[in-house]
Amino acid sequence: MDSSIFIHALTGSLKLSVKLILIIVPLMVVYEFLENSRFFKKTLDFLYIFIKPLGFSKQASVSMLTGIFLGIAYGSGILISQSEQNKLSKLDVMLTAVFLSMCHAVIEDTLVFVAIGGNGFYILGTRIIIASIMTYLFYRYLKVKIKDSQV
Amino acid sequence: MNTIQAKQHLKKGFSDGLSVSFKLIKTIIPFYIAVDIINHTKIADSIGNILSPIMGIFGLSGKMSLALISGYTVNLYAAIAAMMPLHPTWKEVTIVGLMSGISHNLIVEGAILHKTGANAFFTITLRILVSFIAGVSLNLFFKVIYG
Repeated sequence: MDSSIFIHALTGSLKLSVKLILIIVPLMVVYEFLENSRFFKKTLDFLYIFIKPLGFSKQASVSMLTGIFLGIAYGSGILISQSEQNKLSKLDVMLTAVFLSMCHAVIEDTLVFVAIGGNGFYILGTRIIIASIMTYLFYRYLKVKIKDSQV
Repeated sequence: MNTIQAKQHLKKGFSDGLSVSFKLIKTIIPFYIAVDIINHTKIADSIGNILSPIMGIFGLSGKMSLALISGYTVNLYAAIAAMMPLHPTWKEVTIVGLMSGISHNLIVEGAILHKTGANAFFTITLRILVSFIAGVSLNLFFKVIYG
């Protein structure tokens, strides 16, 4: 193999790495300040208005909001403990899984693609819209199914 | 917010940022090198040629399939690493970002969701299907808006 191809690949990967550090670190600092501000807590309350029509109960909002912002491992960690304590209904578990499987850790995920030149508005917007539509469809479907099994 | 709190946030943000970056770099360097080298061989051309009709419906070139496959099986950072040597346009980055954002690290995350009571086969199939729908939709949207 031509060694210049390898050197080209190595320098390319290192350049990309440095670029990502320079973009991601300052943005995470800004995010940390936002997360701990009153504004952020208000945003979370605001978000609940939108997940309520999708069929989520108040109990599920803890897992949902953690999952959306921090990621599936962390969000589901809470979700596992909550479902084990029987705090969440089967419906909540399913809806949370449907939504979060498609839409989680949105800050970090969007950020890394913005860092390499993607359009964050389209990535995040489309993801939220599609996850919401799918969750709503499942909610309608599961609601009928649960009603049938109760009768 | 007082100075002590601000200092803590600054510290936490900085260390979180570094840890995200290093997590990224660990995957990016080997994948980037592998894909960049593969690109100089005929393997990439043949993979690209085979998959280009399918990738076309997402508005992506055939070679971008490497990025999607890396994202689906490993994670987003692998997708980025596989994509960058191909010099993608912002539209391609956005579409790959959306598709692999919806559908990534399928095996590991499928297993985690399985523990909460949602079948892994179900969540994995759903995510792949939805990512295809999302990719096609965003590509159509781009065609309408940007021509």
